Amino acid sequence: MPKKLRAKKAKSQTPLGGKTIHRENYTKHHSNSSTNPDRVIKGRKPHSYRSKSTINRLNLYNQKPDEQRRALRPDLPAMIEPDRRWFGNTRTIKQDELELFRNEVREATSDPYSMLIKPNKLPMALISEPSDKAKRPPLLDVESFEETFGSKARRKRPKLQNYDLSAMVEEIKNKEEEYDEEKDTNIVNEYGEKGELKDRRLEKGQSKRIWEELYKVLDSSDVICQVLDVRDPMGTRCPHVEKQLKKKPNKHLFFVLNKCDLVPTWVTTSWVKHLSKEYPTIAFHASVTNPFGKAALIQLLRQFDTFHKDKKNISVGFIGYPNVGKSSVINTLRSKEVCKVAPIPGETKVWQYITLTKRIYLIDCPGVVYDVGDSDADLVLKGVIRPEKIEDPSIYISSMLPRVNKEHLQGLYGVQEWQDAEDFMTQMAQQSGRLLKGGEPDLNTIAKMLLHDWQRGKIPFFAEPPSKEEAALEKK
Amino acid sequence: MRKLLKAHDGKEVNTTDKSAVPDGAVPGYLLDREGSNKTKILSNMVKQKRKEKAGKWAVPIPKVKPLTDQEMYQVVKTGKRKRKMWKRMINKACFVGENFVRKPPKFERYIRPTGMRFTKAHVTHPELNTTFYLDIIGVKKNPQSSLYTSLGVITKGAVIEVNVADLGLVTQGGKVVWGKYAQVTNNPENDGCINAVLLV
Ligand SMILES: Nc1nc2c(ncn2[C@@H]2O[C@H](COP(=O)(O)OP(=O)(O)OP(=O)(O)O)[C@@H](O)[C@H]2O)c(=O)[nH]1
Ligand SMILES: [Mg+2]
Repeated sequence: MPKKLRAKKAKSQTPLGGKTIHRENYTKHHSNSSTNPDRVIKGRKPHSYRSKSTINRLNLYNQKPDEQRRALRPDLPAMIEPDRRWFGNTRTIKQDELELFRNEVREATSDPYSMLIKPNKLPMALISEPSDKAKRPPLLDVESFEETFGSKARRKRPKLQNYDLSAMVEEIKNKEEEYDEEKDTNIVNEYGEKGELKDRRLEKGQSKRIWEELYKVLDSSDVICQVLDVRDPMGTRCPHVEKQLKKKPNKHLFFVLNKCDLVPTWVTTSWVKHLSKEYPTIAFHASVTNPFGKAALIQLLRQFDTFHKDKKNISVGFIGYPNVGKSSVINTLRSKEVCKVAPIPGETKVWQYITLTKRIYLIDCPGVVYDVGDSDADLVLKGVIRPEKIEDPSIYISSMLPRVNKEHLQGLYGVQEWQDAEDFMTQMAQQSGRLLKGGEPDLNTIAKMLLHDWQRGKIPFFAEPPSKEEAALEKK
Repeated sequence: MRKLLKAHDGKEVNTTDKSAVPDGAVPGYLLDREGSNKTKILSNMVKQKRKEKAGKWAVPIPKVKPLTDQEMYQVVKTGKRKRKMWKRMINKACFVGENFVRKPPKFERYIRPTGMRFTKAHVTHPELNTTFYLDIIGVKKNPQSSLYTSLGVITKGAVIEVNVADLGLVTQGGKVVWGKYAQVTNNPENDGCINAVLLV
């Protein structure tokens, strides 16, 4: 032992022979092992290797719980000590301060570009004006108390909906006429199920498991990016989620219009213009090698990042319909194949975290379909269901053909003239030689082929942007 | 333990002192008099007073049964082979703030499920005998552990801060009171609601 150290040891003994207490359970290790949180590598800057907290965290991952210790019950009861402070007031506010807050909050809520950051640190119940919903029904306006009760009451009998039998019968008859058995979802059918029996395969993206994944993503993200297909942005929006997010002002929503390369530029610009009124919108073409709109998207994410400067990191959740290209957008941002991408809906099955930078995390979510009363044909044409899983694909072609420009179909399939969908498919079958026994055209195979091409964007089409009508209205 | 032993020792101290009584014949009127230990009486009095004073500021439920770690944190297995066991699920009622966002999975040690998050509590005013449905502002103290307090877990006996703006309380100085403490009286994880009593 070196002399210097020995001298120090001697000093630390107290005169009565007792030893001063050192922290015994914490010994600093000097090893250079990568699992040693205290390691110091000479000749390297501290930020060039794993920090103490990172090493501690990585060590934590390998810790196993000790079940015996976990089962031990402490012998002393959990106590709350008596204290005067439990009984005092914790938050008070002066009348004039209250007035000041009230004015400022009123201004802040009416201004769409400002928001309250910490509303629960304010007595919102005192500040905000009661909404119309919370108000009591205006009973007293209809019949005042004096008119109804007491010595000066003028009311002879209570107000009812109907005063005589004939009026009641009349009303019931009207209601009966209005009733539509087809719209009634409460009828139990012969299988003991409510509502009409739907093909289970058409409920893709609506299962409980996928909704659970969606809610996990919504719960974990500060910023939410809804990916829409430019060819049908309104059809691939999820109004239910948008409405829920409005209630949570700390979560920011924006739109990405994906697959811009499949439609003419004017369509994209007018959709961007239209959707920007509601939420920030970015036009995007997802491609690892040749992207469009990537710089704008990264710029937007940076802005959200600076807005959340107080946090260690932010998470951006990507949600949207199946097959709109959520995973492709993430791959584009990373310029690397990090999420599985496939031209079939329902490729992503569970949520996945991807690190974009140290401060920005991206979350990939399975595609969710919100049932807004779409018909089966709508669902199929939105590309929610895999074509090979559709039972009777030929029935959807009749609603597909009117959405496509005739010239495109003529160019693609070489069929010049047709009366209806069946005629079109028959001609195609004859041309390509897809016939069944006895020369019958194989309509189902042709229909699957068509739907296949439709989902992969081979057949060009787009939903008409609203700007034309709007412009016409404005001119008027 | 040592404290407990000492307390027992204290019990055995005789309040009477035999040596204080003189030997030999004693007149009749002095027969039942024994020397009493003044210090013991005094210390008892002080203890009694302390108890009374403390009782005045005691919360309605001062003690609750302690939870074991197993009851507090459920181990969640993660990883491809489900061999990592560092995550914990908290299956108790929780209060998370308005701006709460879950951490990325590699940093998130304690999971508080959305289904068990509460924002409101049924708070009874003990003097008015009325119950109000009030917003929770925060969890001030959970007797089970300090970690539970910082995670905002609400179990029986926890002291929560509630927004009493609706009650129309005013201080003597004329200020409007909008925050007060309340103590949870039920087991929210079993009942699906939080019942509390206002501390006034
Ligand atoms: N032409 C074109 N195709 C795209 C674009 N973005 C995505 N795609 C294609 O769309 C298909 C679906 O992409 P995914 O990224 O798997 O879609 P997703 O939204 O993740 O789908 P799910 O995981 O099923 O919800 C793939 O075949 C992509 O190549 C785009 O900008 N342009
Ligand atoms: Mg995907």
